[in-house]
Amino acid sequence: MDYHIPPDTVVHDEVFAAAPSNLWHLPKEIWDKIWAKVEGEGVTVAVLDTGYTPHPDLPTPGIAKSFIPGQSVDDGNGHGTHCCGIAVGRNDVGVARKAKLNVYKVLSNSGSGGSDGIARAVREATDDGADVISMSLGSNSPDRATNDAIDYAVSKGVVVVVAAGNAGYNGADTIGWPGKHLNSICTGSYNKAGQISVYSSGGRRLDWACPGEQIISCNTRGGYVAMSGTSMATPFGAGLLALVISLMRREGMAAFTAADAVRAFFEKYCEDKGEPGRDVRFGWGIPKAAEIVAALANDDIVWA
Amino acid sequence: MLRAILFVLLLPSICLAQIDLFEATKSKAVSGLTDPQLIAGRILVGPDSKPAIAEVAIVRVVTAAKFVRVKARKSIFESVELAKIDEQRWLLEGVGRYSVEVTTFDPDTGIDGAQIEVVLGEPTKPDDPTKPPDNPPPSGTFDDIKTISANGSKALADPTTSGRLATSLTGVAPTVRTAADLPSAQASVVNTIENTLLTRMGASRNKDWLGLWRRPLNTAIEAAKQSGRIKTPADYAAVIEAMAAGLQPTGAN
Repeated sequence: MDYHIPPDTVVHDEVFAAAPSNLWHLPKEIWDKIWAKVEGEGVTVAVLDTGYTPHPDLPTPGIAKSFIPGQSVDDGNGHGTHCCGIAVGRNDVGVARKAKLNVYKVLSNSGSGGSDGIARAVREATDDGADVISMSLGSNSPDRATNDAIDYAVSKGVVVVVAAGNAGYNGADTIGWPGKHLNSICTGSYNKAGQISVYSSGGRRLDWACPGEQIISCNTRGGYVAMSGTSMATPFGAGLLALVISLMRREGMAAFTAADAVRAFFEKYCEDKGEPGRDVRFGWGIPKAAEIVAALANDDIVWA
Repeated sequence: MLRAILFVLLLPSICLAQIDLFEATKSKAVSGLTDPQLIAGRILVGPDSKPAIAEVAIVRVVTAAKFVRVKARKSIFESVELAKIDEQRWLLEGVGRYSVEVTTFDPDTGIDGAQIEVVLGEPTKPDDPTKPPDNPPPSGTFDDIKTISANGSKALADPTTSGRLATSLTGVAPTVRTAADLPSAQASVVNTIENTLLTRMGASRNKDWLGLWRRPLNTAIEAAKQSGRIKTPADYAAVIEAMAAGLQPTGAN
């Protein structure tokens, strides 16, 4: 079985020499306060995508492996590097800007890859010490090996964030696999206005929606480029969960031990959007990043 | 070859024979006295005296050599003069760790030398009879903190993290003791604890150190602060040492 970059992921034409100083999905008036408390220290994000191309705003991956026969980990597509930047980019480009990065090329330069490689990569990323796995990919049908690998990752305390897909929603479930898998954190996309993206797949398995439209991040040919899709929302969610895990670990809290624990967290810390409660378009809603960090930082603890 | 070896072996014993005795005896000296007089077994001093007691050492050298030189060094670069008391005794004073060296020379027997180490402590103020008795040492007053730390550690059953925290806290205690103020001491302690907890691996990550250890301790320490038991960074350092002691395997009660 083949997995693909979610169809209809849009690469916008404009290339920026420098990243705009105040990205809409990382407004400085909010994120400077968040980063003052946590930047993802001590946490590793594994990005399973089209690979990685060095960029001034990207950390050097601790581990970089290719599961595509005949292709190095070098990103000949751009999708993977863009996702890496969203999750862990430095200089205000990424969410968890001090998290470590591991890269697993599971999609070819043309944007597709076999399930065997993806399943192996999920297991290896877990064994390599990932705390969060970001997978901006999907397929129309389930794959046993991939689902088992995700179960394995979650059993080891890894949070697996997967794109819902870009099929939109017309009343019937459009979420792809492995986003639909019970142990995945299924991620939709919303735009600058706080509305769900038209293309964002919907269904009962949706967990939450993250910023996914016109997201500016690292370009493989230098500078920065904007892309749109649940592919972009997914590394944002992965980066945010990296911050959460870093904070929880640092403060001394017990780690998430199941995807359900993460969902309980979302239920508490997402702003409910769309239909009341969990719904097919927004899931639990959109994350209240500043509130999450403030709640986990335990600023009342000043002696021990 | 045999003669050369014998020469090397015998030479030190010949030289050492020049110094019959080289020793340092610690004593205490009172300074800051004006007009001291010994009357009826009491030392009476002027009303403007500001007495302080400091540890000193009397260095004694017994030798038949004609020339004797005694000197002390705090480091390779810092030598300290000793005050000569008489032909056999010198006075060493001032807080520090010293290497005291004696060198003797005699035209008949040649040069000899020896070295000993002397440590002199901090000066202390003599007890003021009008002052109420001091509180017990801080380490004795924070047994409650040690118990809370030990109970939390026991409940968590995470000896790896307990050990790392104990090491970290023991390491930061001297910094806390000399901190400029309590807020800066608190910041360094919280940073130390959080940086240690951030490195948790494996099953340690599933332990609730926040709920079972940090929060109870934070509450107890805050209460100690409110009741006046913690006033200075030194008090807080004693708290940190009590926390560390509670984390040790033997700290559990």
